[in-house]
Amino acid sequence: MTCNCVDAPVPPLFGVQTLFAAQHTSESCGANGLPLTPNSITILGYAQKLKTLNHPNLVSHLDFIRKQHGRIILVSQYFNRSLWTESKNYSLLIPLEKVLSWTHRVLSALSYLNDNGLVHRFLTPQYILLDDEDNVKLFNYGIYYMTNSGKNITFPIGKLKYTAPEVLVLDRALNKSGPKTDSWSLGIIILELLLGAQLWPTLKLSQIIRKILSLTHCTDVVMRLAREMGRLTMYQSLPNELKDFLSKCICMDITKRMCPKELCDHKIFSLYEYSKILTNKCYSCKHPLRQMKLNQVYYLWKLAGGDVEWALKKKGLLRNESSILLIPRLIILEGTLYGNARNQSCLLDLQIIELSLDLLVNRLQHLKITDYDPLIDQIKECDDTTDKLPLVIREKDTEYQFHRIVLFDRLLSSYPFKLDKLLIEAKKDIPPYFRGEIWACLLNVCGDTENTYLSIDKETAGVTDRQIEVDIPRCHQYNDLLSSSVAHKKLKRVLKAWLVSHPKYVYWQGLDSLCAPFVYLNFCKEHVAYACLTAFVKKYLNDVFLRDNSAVIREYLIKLFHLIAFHDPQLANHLDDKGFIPDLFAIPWFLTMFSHVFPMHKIFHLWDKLLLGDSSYPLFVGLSILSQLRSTLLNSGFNECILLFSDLPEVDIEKCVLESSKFNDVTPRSITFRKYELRTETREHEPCLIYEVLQNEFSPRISVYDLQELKRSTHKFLVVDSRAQEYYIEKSIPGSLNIPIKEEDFADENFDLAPSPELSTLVNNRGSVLIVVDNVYELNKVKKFCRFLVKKEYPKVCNLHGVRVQRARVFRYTPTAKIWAWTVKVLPFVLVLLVVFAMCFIAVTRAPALQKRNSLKVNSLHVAKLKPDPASSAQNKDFQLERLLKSKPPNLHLFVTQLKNEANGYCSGKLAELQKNAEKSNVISERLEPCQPKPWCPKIPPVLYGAEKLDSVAVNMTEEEIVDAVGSMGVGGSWAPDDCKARHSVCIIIPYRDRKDHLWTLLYRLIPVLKRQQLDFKIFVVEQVSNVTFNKGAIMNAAFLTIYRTYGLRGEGDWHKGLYGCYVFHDVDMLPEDDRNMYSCPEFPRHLSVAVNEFKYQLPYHKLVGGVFNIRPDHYFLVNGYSNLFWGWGGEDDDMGYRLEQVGLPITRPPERLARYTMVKHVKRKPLAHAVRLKLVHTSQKRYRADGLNTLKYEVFRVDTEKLYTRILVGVGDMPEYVRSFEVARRITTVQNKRWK
Amino acid sequence: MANRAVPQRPNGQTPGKICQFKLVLLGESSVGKSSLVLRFVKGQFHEYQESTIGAAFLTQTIHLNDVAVKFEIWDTAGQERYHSLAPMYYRGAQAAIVVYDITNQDTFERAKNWVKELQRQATPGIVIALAGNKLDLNTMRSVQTDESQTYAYENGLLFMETSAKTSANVTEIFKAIAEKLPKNETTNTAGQGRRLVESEGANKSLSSCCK
Repeated sequence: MTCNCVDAPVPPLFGVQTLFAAQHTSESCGANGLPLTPNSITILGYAQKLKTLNHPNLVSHLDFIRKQHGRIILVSQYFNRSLWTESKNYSLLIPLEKVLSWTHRVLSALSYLNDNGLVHRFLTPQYILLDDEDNVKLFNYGIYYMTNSGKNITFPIGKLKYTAPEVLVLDRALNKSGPKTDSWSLGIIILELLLGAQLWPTLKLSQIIRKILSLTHCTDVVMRLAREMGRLTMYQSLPNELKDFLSKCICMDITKRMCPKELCDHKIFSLYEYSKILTNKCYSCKHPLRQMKLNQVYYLWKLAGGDVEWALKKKGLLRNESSILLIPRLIILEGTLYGNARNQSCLLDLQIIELSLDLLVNRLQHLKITDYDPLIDQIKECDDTTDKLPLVIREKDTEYQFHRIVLFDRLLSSYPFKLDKLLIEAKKDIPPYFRGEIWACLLNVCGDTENTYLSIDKETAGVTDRQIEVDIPRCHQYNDLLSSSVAHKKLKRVLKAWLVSHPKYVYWQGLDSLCAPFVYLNFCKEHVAYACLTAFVKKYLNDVFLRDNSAVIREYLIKLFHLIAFHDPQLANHLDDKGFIPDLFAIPWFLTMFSHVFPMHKIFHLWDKLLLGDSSYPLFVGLSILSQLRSTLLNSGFNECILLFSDLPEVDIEKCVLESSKFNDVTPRSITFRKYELRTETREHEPCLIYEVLQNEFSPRISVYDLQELKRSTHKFLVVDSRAQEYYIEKSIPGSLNIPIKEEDFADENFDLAPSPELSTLVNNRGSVLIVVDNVYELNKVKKFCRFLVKKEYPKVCNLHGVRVQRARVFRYTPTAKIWAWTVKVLPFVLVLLVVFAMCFIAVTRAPALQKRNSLKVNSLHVAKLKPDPASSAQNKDFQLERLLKSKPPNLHLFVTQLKNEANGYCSGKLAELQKNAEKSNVISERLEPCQPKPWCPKIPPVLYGAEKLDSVAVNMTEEEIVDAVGSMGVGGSWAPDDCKARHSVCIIIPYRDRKDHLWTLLYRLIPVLKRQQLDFKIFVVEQVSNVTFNKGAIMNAAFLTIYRTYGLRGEGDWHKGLYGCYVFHDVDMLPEDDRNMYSCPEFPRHLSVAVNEFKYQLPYHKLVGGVFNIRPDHYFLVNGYSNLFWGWGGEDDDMGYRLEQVGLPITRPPERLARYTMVKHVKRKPLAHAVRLKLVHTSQKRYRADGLNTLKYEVFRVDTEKLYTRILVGVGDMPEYVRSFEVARRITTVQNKRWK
Repeated sequence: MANRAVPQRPNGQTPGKICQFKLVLLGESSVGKSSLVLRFVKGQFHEYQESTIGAAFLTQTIHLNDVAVKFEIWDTAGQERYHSLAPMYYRGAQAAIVVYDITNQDTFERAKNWVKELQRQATPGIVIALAGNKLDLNTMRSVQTDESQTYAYENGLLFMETSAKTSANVTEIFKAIAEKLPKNETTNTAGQGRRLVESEGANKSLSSCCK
């Protein structure tokens, strides 16, 4: 049990270190012509990963600071006890159990590091720290990683005595140290600990190197070292297992040395009950600050005035050299400098400075213990005094931020259940510490974004790569972190992932700026950045990144102008007068949501509020920027105006944010309604107009709904009725003002309203919302009247939209009247529709009967006397497609969503089961795992044979021979490379009828090709139940759905692999000739069989996708799969070509010289339903939503696991009678026609 | 350099005749259009010049003999996608600088396309200059001077290799354009750049160039 008390002392928790990065010798440029990124920035980028590491035996890294001249300052958790101090410089003998317990923890920390791709490389007894509870904490494990294996610094890493011999011998620029170098260092440390003496305490560096290298010749290295330490007898008395352990660590031969993970399982640890060693539990009172997360404490410490640099200066680690000493003595023409060499000794300072927390403790001393752990629903409202302070000051106030951090920590951990509370709090302000996470919540990011992100192919080269590559190095580069190479890579990956997962969008310049804040805030969580970007674009920039976005952008700009006219008529008049339209300055505003216009810190504050607003909020931001520059704009001409925006002057963001939310509050929603925004709810009579209409209007329109809302609210408004007086007297909106006016009046430029009581009412109501109404055919008059009012500088002018009745009746707008009016209008249509329906119904129900009778008749006639029946043939001439389609297909989008949920549900169930099993057999599986995580397979597979000449006949081998020939395979025809992680997981679907020898020939040829391409693949053979007409499209759909729903029918150990990245539909008679034709997942649908020997190695026509076709599941959903209507061979693949065209997906193809196939010879079957096929292909574009995956009825009869494939037996029904009879009838007619000729 | 064509801010003293010309910069992205303008107008250079979205507008006046030539410069976005916006900017322009990057052959090809488009669709008699930028990266050159010189000659373009970084030939190219532009009262219809919307710009011809 621990107790907390506010007055307990807080020991220093953080330590600071400093080092220098290597500097580029001269002002040289990289390949892109830009200056080389300073090494210190590169280090900063790499170092971010260290913040994400979390292991009980590692200290946590808190901050990395970059200073001038390439200095890096590291802040991390620190304890002042270490193995070194604990053993009193090795003079004290530590009990064996304790040493083992420490060792085991160090090993577990090291193997955690190895799993994350790090090695320590700086292991010394001084860097194995011990916390208050005697728990081991490894220190300084990040230096080797963050300096890119020592490449970005000029000094060597590690203490010589503990450095493994191979590190000394190999060139450090070329060889990265592996996990086993740490085993060596640890071995030496343990040996010293156990024997209670130092190794070579008095030798010089050069002598130590000689000593280490001389160990090569000795047989028992450990014994030799023990002898050198003068403790041979003591060593010999150690238990044998321990000696064995040491010899596995301290071993000259790297292949025989064990890596930390293997050492963890060494038998020495099972012999001693080291784990029972009681740790030093500390029962004394602790300050509640120590219960908080270290990062938060560090953040607050900085706010309270903590200054790392100052702490270093105080200890003399930062010496200010006078800058004249840094000037080089000689510079030669190419820019190489001489004579400014830095003192080598200060490149890395091993001294660690502890940071005192007293400042923070003092600042927070009057807080009660309950403030540290408040009840979430009873959090008191902060005192109004702090709330009213400007945001900048609130963000710097230690105590205020303390409360905010405690509060949001709780709210975020309970997300999404406390979302309402989170929204309320976020409205006040968003603490910078949690900004990234809160934004993600505000954007409703949830679910398994990590796996979604992982499953997206971010590597395959795309068409916009060059553009992205030239844009990223110019995007927010004033920011240190974003200018590092790691950040560039991350930004590129997120952008590419977004582009790949949104095929309808393309890369527009500016997307990089939009993405940058998310990447910056979620630097170590790319998937969150990706999810945020996705949600953000959906909410604010729907359709903006379409290939042709002009309509969307123009609408944004016109809406902005309407809003200016609505709120600031004077400015609108001036801008209109000067021809200064928003197109000239506001495109980057909306295209990038201001992220291209403002620096990062301003974007943060702007988006804090933007994310709380709806999709019209950006317009108000634009408006408030203009209103800030108002006075300058009013006094400027065109050129000055546009120059003003070319280098946008300082805009006060806080003022801008405040004002925009004020504008937002007083503007009726329908005024900012945009046609292209994505809306959850739509109301009646929204002013949904194309921009050509909008363009000709000067003032916005308001909806009837908003008029009613205004009535209910306290906002002042006035309806101005411009009809002639007699109409007004007949009927009018209660309380409206009648100013009769004629359209011709506006022809005169100097026209003004004559003084009247109405005019004075109008003047008195200046400032309220003015709603102009008139008869619907008087639209032009209304427009001109609005323009007139704006010219007279009346603010908030708008006109009523959506009233479509000409007579005055509309102005009495009661719900019952509405319904009545509607009924009267619609009734005739309904009646007509009913009649039509009735007729259709009769036609449909009667037709099959007629059909049957006809076909029977024809058949009998055919047999009997072959006399044409004019009635039946005439009727049969038109094939009625509609009869094959369901009248009401399920919504494709819903269907796909449901399917995805189903697949994910199935997977998570299986995964949970697997985990349970895995826990049981934990020990075994851990031992089997390799030391380091598998690396990715190379992008270009190393062993490919290239083109091969193939026979176009089936191979003459038995099945057993073929199974032997293709080598080992996993369950049901699955395979993945052993030695590396495959970059793509591919599912091969082979529709199969009865050509068994062809199938085996294909497997014999295809499997080795896929293996050489290092893919993670599985082969499915799908077969249709016998005795029915073959339907290739339908069974391919059925196979796809079966596989997708059951998560690829993965084997026991493969659940973590996820869904297949793409599906290849492979004809059974197509043999790949060249293994350079990759089956990997393409960005867009890829037709692989471009050149087939049957067609003289040429593509017969451009839309062809038959043969071998590779498509991502998301694209497959987009086209709704294959058609189910093609009974008999052929046609469904041409149909697919049309479908792709319809949804706008390009067909990509590998080069002809690679994509060569041999077609196995076989007797061609006659297509069964030739005429129907032609009909269908012609109508395919119209049909794709109502025919495909969503309308498929199928039944899986069996799933068999064979040696080389998984066989799926499905039933998809039989050819509908209608098609058969049509076809038969048609054939007879043709036969007869021929005879007559 | 005792050059008369010293750039001055628009509010500098302007003796004698003032001519106003609309000039547009075109070219593939990241070839240095914005840098070129920035160097010409403000004498600045940023290594990490941000990409231009939509377009930017700047003005600069240079003096030729006793004539003050005021350039209204439209600096356009380079990405191919923004191509649809380009006509809005080059319509009514009397001069254009088509920029390419001498270290990148593709940008030169793209520049040729721009020249073709301008010759076909822009104001007849438009003065086109071809600028091979990034001369400071001469060592990494992939477009040879001869090649572009020949091309420029065949198409009647002004040609210079420039460097916004070292400011080589930057003022010179603008000056060369200014010299080539006709400065008599009648022929020019400047100031059309103010009206960028198609419907308005087409039939209105505003003030003439020189006052």
